[in-house]
Amino acid sequence: MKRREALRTISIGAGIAVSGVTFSALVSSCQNEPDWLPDFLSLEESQVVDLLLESMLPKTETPGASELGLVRIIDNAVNKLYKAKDQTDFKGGLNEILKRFKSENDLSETDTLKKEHIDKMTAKYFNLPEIERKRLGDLIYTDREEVSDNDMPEYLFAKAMNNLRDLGIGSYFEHETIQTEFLNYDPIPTRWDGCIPVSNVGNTWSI
Amino acid sequence: MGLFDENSPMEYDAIVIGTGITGGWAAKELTEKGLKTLVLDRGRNVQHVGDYKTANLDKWELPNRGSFDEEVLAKDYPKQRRTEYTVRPEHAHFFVKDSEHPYEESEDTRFDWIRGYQVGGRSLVWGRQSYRWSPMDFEANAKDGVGIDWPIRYKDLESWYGYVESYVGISGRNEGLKQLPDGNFLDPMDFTCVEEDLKNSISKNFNGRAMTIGRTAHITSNQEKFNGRGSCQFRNRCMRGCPYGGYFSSQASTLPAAEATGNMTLRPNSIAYEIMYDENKQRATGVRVIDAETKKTYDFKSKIVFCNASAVPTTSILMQSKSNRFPNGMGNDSEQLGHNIMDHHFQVGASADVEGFEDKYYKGRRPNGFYIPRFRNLPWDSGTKKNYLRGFGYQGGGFRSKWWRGVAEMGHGAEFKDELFKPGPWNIGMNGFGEVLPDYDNYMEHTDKTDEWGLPIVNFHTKLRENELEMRKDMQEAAVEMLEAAGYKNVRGWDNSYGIGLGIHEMGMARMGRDPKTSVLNKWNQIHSVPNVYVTDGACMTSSACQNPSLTYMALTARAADHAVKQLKKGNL
Ligand SMILES: Cc1cc2nc3c(=O)[nH]c(=O)nc-3n(C[C@H](O)[C@H](O)[C@H](O)COP(=O)(O)OP(=O)(O)OC[C@H]3O[C@@H](n4cnc5c(N)ncnc54)[C@H](O)[C@@H]3O)c2cc1C
Ligand code: SF4
Repeated sequence: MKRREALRTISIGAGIAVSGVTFSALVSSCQNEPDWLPDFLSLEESQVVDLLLESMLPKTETPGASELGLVRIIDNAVNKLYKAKDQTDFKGGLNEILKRFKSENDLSETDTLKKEHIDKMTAKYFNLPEIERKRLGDLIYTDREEVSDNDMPEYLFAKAMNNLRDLGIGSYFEHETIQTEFLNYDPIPTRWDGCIPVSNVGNTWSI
Repeated sequence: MGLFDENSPMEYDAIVIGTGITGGWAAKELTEKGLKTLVLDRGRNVQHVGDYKTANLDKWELPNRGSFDEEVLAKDYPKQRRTEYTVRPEHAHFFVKDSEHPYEESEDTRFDWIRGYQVGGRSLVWGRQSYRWSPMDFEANAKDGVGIDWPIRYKDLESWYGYVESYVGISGRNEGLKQLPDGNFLDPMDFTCVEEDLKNSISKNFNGRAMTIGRTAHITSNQEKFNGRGSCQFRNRCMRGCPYGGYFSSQASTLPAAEATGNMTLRPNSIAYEIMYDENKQRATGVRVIDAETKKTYDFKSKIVFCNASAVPTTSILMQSKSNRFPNGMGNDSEQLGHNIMDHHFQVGASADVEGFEDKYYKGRRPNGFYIPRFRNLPWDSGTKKNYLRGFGYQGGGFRSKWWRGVAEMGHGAEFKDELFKPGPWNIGMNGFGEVLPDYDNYMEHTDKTDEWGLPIVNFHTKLRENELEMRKDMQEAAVEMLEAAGYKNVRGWDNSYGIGLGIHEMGMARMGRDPKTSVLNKWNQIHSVPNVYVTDGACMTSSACQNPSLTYMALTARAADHAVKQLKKGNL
């Protein structure tokens, strides 16, 4: 199966069960002629990132993260734009994310990973009680050197989740398809009107 | 353009060093008045339109989708990146690489030297805000006993402001303010709905305070008067170069005018290294140049020299121009050369959220903001007196947020995503630009080290002093006060890190004055002791006021060029 098709099966629209695949099976299923290989992420990580992004930015009347291939953009961004130590942390964070999937869903290495497992985790993370959220917020802005060994897994996890979401939102709304087909694309406005009814415009201007 | 080639002469009436905002003006004025002029720039040639390669690119068409490349930034732009915005991939090619053009900062001090070396200089990337200085600005030093008195007054420059405004094309609104004189403006741009609201609140709640739309060098009307330049299309991609010539740059405006006279010879890749001096005649004889590509040196002769390499390089060239007469640098009898570095201190102000305009929006991308002119220490209003000298103005804007607001919220999922397609809440913010006092101890000097071309590397000693630090407190408080008075929500004051230079209005190192003992230049921008050398870039400034300075540099340049040509004709130079 081609990699793109693999991704498509995993990330079809909300409500439909995802074809069951194990972490390792995912990798092997793509071994014959994958049409894209990540540069920075492992194949397994890239698949998890893709699922996570789709869960954060799912397909509705507008495209979802998977069909836009955001994982490719993010793989490139982390590879090219991150400092080495942030790259290491990002990898560490993905590792924590994987661990949590498995432990929170009682999955073993060979169990299948379903879309609902992922949704459950993102929902949990993004709907934390206020006090928890504040604690994590403070933690991820702590100086890296000052994070205790105890807090480190949590730190890496939360930082990776936030980075993924930020990169996801950015690359989603700055994607050509979204900018030109779904937002208001107006590369040469020719005029400036400072105060008009929003109903004349509708969606946000893309640029 | 009339580009230099092997058949070009080695001798000219005039040489202009630099083709940025001031060099472009010097080139235009001198050539239009009939002088055969060699125009030098150390950078590569940049063709109008043809070399604006990124002008129409969208995010997804840019390298790394227009994001910073950490490795490149760390290696090539460790200092240029301090602005955060100037080193973006879409226009980084119009700024120097620190790796090629290094400079030093003395311990515990910081100087942000943000520059572009190419034909057109920083005229290609400037913010285009253009304000006249007012009578009080030229009188301030004398009145406060700070630095030295300006040798000119507002009335000396008034007609020259009008002259350059008409040619540059400046959009703005006349407000009849003493501290911000009216000008020859093209149609003003609109406020957004919330900006209009703030303006009304300020005039209601703060007696004597004004808010106006930014005065900016964009063509918004009377397009036919601008020699083929087009009107602004409101794309706000100006720093990449404008294919329409909608904003003022040397490429769009002054260099074509100079070219059209047939009197200009332009030589890119030409590093002015030294101004040559004849001790008998007590005049400069021309400019020594290093070819940036071949590293060969050439001596070009001329009757007059205009220094327009921008404040630091011009000062550096004068420092290098040593002779028996001038062992410490040309024109440096006063020992002031390199001292009194000023800028505008900013990155302090306030922001807020605005409710009640959810049904309003705007069309286009206005390359401009609003302006709140100075309202502190106005000489005619004792009620405006503060515990520091001088004052500040604010530049700001009020717009609706986009999807980036999603980053701050902890949302996710279908509803969250779909909501981000809609225009977000309105935010409004203002950033103060404050006057920096001239201080002898803010200075630059040459080190023993040299760069790739054998030019001395500059070391800076600059920091904010008490007056500026006191002013900053007020800049934040007054901004908070105005946003609160307007009833806005979540008003937040801020004071972000700033180092002298970050305002990119560096100036003052070869100041004008009445007395050769305390200044480098006279009231016509001539070096007191070498009258055929004119300095009309930021180096000439005696104080900094708080308005963006380039319009004043342009007016001074046009005035000085007029003087130079008249003096030359009279045989005085
Ligand atoms: C991002 C940004 C925003 C700005 N916004 C505003 C604004 O809103 N309003 C405002 O008034 N000002 C603004 N400025 C400042 C403005 O750009 C400068 O004041 C103005 O460009 C100065 O003109 P200049 O001719 O002195 O120098 P420049 O425009 O910098 O030109 C100097 C030229 O000299 C050349 N040169 C340097 N050394 C040598 C040498 N040894 N030999 C030969 N050539 C040499 C350089 O290559 C360059 O082309 C802004 C600047 C930047 C970077
Ligand atoms: S905003 Fe106007 S001046 Fe700036 S690039 Fe666009 S068209 Fe040109």
